[in-house]
Amino acid sequence: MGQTWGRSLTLLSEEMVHPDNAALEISNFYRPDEDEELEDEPNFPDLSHLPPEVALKVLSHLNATDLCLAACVWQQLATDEILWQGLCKEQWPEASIYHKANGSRSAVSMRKVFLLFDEGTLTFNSDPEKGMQYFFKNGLVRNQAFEIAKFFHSTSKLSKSQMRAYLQNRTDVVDEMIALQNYANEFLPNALRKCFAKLEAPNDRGQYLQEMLTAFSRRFCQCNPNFGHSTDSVYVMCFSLILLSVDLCSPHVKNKMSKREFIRNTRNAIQLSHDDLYGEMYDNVFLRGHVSEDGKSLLKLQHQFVPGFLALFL
Amino acid sequence: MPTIKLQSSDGEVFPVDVEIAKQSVTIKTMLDDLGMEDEEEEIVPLPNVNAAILKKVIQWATYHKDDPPAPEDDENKEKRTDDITSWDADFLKVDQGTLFELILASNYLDIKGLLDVTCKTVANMIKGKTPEEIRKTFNIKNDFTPSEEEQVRKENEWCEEK
Repeated sequence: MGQTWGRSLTLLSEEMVHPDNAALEISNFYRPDEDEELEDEPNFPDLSHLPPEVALKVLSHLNATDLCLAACVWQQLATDEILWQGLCKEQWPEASIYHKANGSRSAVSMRKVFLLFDEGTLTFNSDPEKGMQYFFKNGLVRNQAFEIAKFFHSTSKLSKSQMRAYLQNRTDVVDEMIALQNYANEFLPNALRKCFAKLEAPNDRGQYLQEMLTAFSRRFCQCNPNFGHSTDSVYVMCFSLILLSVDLCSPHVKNKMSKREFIRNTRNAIQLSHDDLYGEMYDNVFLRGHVSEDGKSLLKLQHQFVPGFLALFL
Repeated sequence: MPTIKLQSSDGEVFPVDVEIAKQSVTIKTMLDDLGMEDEEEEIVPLPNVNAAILKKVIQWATYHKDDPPAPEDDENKEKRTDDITSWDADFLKVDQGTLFELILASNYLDIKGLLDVTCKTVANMIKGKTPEEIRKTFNIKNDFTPSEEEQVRKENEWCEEK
């Protein structure tokens, strides 16, 4: 044993000296005992003297702006495809362009792709329709519901309200986006919060909200086959939860809905008594707040919403 | 607790707890491959690390010995450089030459945590600086000709708009 140990140690130390020539060169490079080096303050040797993978690791902590500026100093290193691909995927994690065959993509550098994404995002956030045209035209995202859904679902760079403006006319994408979410073992109000976190709730109880909730209810039942309620019941429960959220969170509502009232209203609307479940839903909204995280857009629902919603309870 | 002896390139020997030394994947792999017995008195030579740096590395590893294992890099996660702990920040208040050698040592010894924090520290020295300021910080001669310089600037002018 002792012998193997010793031999392997020799091997190891040989290995340490040889394979990583780059590292070795650097330890030679930095020799403060050389005469002229002694005169100067010890300076940080240039990044380009580091082994490339380490230099890239340093640069991978920079954002696009800093990386562009660094490219004026270390042109080769700072224009590396890996760095720019990392930046792209950090901001737009899923896009059709990443999956294109290497052959057709090689013409465009990842840095160029980043700049296209950046431009497209800026455009989208001021005019979503134009922005999407830009993404399509430059081959970043394919004009297919599933591809758009993945793109929207994964990035946090696009404005949520502009996204909603675009989705108003693309409910096929809404369906795909909801299909990308997983509500397994989530309590209904929490699942609804998760949904609204990705898809901003509209200001009115129009067709868009209905279609969104239809897709949501279907997906929720699909993820929770043992929930024991029909898609239609879930759909009504969602409306019920939204109304309760508005009621409890709006400063304009003086007389808040009581737990008993909520249970009674929901029971009447669904025509099934699962009072324990309705009670738990009430407690959830009471304690955790609005089902739509920012709550602002749905608060506006109040005026048009209450009469319409009461009709649901009749 | 069993200890292991690490020898620096200039011949100094440091006895270190095995558990602390194992934060270096290089050393850990070696020990795991070879099997370790308590009475082993072998010395592990580290020909790429001098005594001053090895001492710093051991100091860092001792302080961080109870850290949970570092999470795997996720390329989709936003990179942060403002999450350096105050202990690490103090620890890395060293001259640039030492910082540089610490990066090389942690890369060679494969100590992810130390490599991360040293790279972040260097990245922070680059952040928010103009090319001129970067050159000054790292004492780099500008070896572009004026026309090349113009070309590079053009290619990168996008960032000026931001």
